[in-house]
Amino acid sequence: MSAPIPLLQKMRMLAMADSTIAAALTGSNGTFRWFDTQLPKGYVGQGTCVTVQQISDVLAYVQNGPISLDWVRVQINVWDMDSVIAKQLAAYLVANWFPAVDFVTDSMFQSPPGPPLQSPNFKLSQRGVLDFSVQPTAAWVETLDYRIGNNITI
Amino acid sequence: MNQSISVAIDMVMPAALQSGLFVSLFTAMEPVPTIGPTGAVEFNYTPVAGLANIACMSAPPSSARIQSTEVRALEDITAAELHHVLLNGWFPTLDAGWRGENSDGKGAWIAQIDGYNYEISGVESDSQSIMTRVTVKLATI
Repeated sequence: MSAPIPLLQKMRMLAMADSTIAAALTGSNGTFRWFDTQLPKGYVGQGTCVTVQQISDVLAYVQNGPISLDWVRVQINVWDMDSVIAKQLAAYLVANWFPAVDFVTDSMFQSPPGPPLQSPNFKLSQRGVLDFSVQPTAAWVETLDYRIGNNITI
Repeated sequence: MNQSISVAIDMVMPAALQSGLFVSLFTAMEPVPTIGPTGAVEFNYTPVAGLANIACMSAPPSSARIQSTEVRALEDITAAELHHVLLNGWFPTLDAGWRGENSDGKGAWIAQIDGYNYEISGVESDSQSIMTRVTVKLATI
């Protein structure tokens, strides 16, 4: 049995497989600008970037121990110098991508990939801010707050 | 006989080099990101083309006394070691690129002097374009 894949890695794999997200985040240098927690310097100037970080999780227990379903609170930041583009990609993630990805089963990680069996991803909030630490021009950050059901055994 | 001052200016760095004081080697290093499977980024530093192994003089900022740079705060103690580095010549690419805000946007460069890595605090060139000076800092927390 292969080792379970971390949630952020699963999210990045499925984001890369989505043609709309791939077109928005892949630069001419081939870098897929979907990052873990940190926005590296210089990338938001190349185009839209996404950073994903885990805020917390709740792992439920039964009498025998923890169950495999982990409820993970995830923050997704969509960065762009243009607020309209950041909002468009955030809207696509909310309306199209999150309802179509599944981290509870391994269906989408099979070869060939199968359809998602369900969509236990819940949007909690969304907000937009400016990040003034990006210089010389501040970047727009559209922040999505999600609760994602993740099977920790796959 | 009067001669152009430019001749004398051109002789400054060759004369300084011939003094034998340029005993250190300076290499500018730029960050090269490696992106992991979750999208986490690690930076490795590689020498900048044209800015490797430059003979230099790496001196403390004051010849008179050691600078007291240790700062004690509640959570940590920072000790900074500063050097004022004179490079063997004029290097405009270092002046232009050390902030990492050039076209590749990879991030700020660091300086490696005799095998030790330092943060670059500042780069300046003289008005006659014959020498470049660098202020570097090794901070320990």
